[in-house]
Amino acid sequence: MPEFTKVIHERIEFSDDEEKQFIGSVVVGSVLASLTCLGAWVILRNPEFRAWITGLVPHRYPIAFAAERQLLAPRSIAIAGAILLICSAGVAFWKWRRFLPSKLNAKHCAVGYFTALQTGIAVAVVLNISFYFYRVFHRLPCQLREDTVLTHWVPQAYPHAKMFRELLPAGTRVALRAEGGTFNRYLFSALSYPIACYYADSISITDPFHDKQWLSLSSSRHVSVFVHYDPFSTTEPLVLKRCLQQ
Amino acid sequence: MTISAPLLTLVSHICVGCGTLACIAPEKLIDVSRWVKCALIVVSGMIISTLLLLLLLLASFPFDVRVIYACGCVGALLTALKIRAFHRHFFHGSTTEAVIPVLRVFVFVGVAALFLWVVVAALCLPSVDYDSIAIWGYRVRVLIEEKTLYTDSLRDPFRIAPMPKHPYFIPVLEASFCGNADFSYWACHLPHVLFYIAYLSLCVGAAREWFHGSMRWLALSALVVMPAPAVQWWLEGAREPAIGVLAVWNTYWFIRWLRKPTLLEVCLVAIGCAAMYHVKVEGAVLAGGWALAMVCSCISWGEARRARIHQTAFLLLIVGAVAVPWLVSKSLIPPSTQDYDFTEGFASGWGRRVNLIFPVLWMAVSEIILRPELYGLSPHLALGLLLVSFRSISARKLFLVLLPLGLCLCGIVAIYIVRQEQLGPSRNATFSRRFICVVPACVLASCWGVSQASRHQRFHVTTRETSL
Repeated sequence: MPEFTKVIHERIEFSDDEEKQFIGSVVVGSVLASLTCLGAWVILRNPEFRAWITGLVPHRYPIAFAAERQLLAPRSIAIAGAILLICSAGVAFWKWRRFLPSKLNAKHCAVGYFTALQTGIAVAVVLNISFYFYRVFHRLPCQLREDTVLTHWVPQAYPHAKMFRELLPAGTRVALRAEGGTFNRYLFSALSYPIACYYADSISITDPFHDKQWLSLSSSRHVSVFVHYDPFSTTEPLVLKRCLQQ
Repeated sequence: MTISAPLLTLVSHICVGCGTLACIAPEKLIDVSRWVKCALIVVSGMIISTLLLLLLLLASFPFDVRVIYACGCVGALLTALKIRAFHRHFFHGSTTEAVIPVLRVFVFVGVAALFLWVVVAALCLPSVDYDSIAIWGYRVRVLIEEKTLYTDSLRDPFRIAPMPKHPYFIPVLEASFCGNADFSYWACHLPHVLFYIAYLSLCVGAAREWFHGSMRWLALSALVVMPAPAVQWWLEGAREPAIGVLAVWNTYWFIRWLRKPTLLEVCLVAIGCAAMYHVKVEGAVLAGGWALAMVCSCISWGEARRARIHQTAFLLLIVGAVAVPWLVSKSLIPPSTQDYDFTEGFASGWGRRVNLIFPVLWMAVSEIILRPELYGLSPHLALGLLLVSFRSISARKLFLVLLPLGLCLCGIVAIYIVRQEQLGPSRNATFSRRFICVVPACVLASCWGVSQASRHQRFHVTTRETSL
């Protein structure tokens, strides 16, 4: 077994011919990678074929949230890249090799191809993300306000919680009944902090203060306000009822 | 928010890391790249001081960022006292290599683009995924506001606070960067930028140690130009990418330990395991996986078995010492009406789930093969490299290196098989978020496998050239 230090300290020196051969091979690899991306882009502009490819990833179901994020995926380019990777490996290693110029090195071609394509994907991802923000907000990410981004991603809970924080002082204890599932309840209560929200899903909306759960919460947790939160209501998303008997 | 609080915390973490490195004899890391030493400074600095603060919090002390500053002072003092050793770590045995620039340009362009995105996302964009807002961001706000873990906001069963039994490493780390100032997203994102920098450093260092010439650039493009570590923490939150970086960290040091069992490597694996355990359940599985891999190596290894047994016991001791306080504290959290039993459904019903196994396995395979926007072509390359070098790698070593990652992968697949019944396909969108825990480390392990396979041949070439 060789010593580890010997392995990492070894040096490689290339002769001029080897260097030229290496550069030539890498350039051929990178040109192949570019052609791959271009070819994939041309082929996958067909929506049916694109949908078929996307359908191969079953957990990318077509809900709005996921569809938004599919904008970040230059998947089409890379799938074609993978196919051409196999083709170029075939060209490099099998009998078709004789059709390539003799000075090229198959291994270096493959390395150049892979590195170029990998870099292409990384750069495409970054460009896509930036372009996504520009398309949605008409601004670059560095020009966006925190409020704008949060309101876009959490369109109900964020503005409602902001309004809620302005209505009540910090530390107020409220019994929260939220509609629309646990998702809204947890988002709203987390964004409402430092207002303290307590579970009150079974409290009656019409007459909350005579409810058993309210009585329990008000005596043990000193809750003074009941809030009914319906994120999808366009008229009254937040209904606050203050108990005056305490 | 002023810039001084996050910067002070950043400097403190770096000082702790420098102090840690200064305490290690340079001879022990003589064959370690400077890039890995940079990663060691960042990762060990953040883990040691954050775990200390977390343990103090679990022991009912108030959250006080001055603990981090004090750790930083101690680290700076140690560095000053051992400045010669520290200096030797970075200025000893300088090696240069003839590099042909074409591939370097490619890799540099990809890394620069991703790194620029990381910085822009960290400084300009808030966290927007559900978990970041509802679970983790909430905890950071509570810590900053109320300065303790033992508060109704986190432990009252009637209070709306999701996942009260999730651990606290990431919230404490993020809160420490906010310092004594208010909550701010960019301060909370800073540690994740540091994790990303550590990931880059580790990968560059490992590739420099294991490969030369064009293979080095191939390995680098597979590891550092993989978009997932840069974009996933913004897309779906920062916990899993942090686990992913720690998995890469542990894989690297564990590979070194397999080759030469020393206490230093065990300590570094142990702090990685301890931190992972305190991040999330995937991290706990991975931490358990490394402990199991070390136990297996003790059973299977003939050479230095005694040392391996002692060191494995030491690892279990360290991880246990850091894990037990949280287990005790967690057991005191009263059951909530909304508790989510993570293990529910695993014990039985596997007979009727047979038809769900294939779709979930295809989901896993398609995640690796058909998600270039996250992983690029790295998984393709990793699989190819493993296939090429299959006959030349030590099967026992490869099994041990891949054991923790495989265990976590099986756990992820099992979760989704069970969840298909319980929660339906809407939960499947989080699949890729969990994959990030293991994919980069799998690629690193594959690269190591190839380097092992080609080492014998390279050594002969080197020897022949030297003799000529």
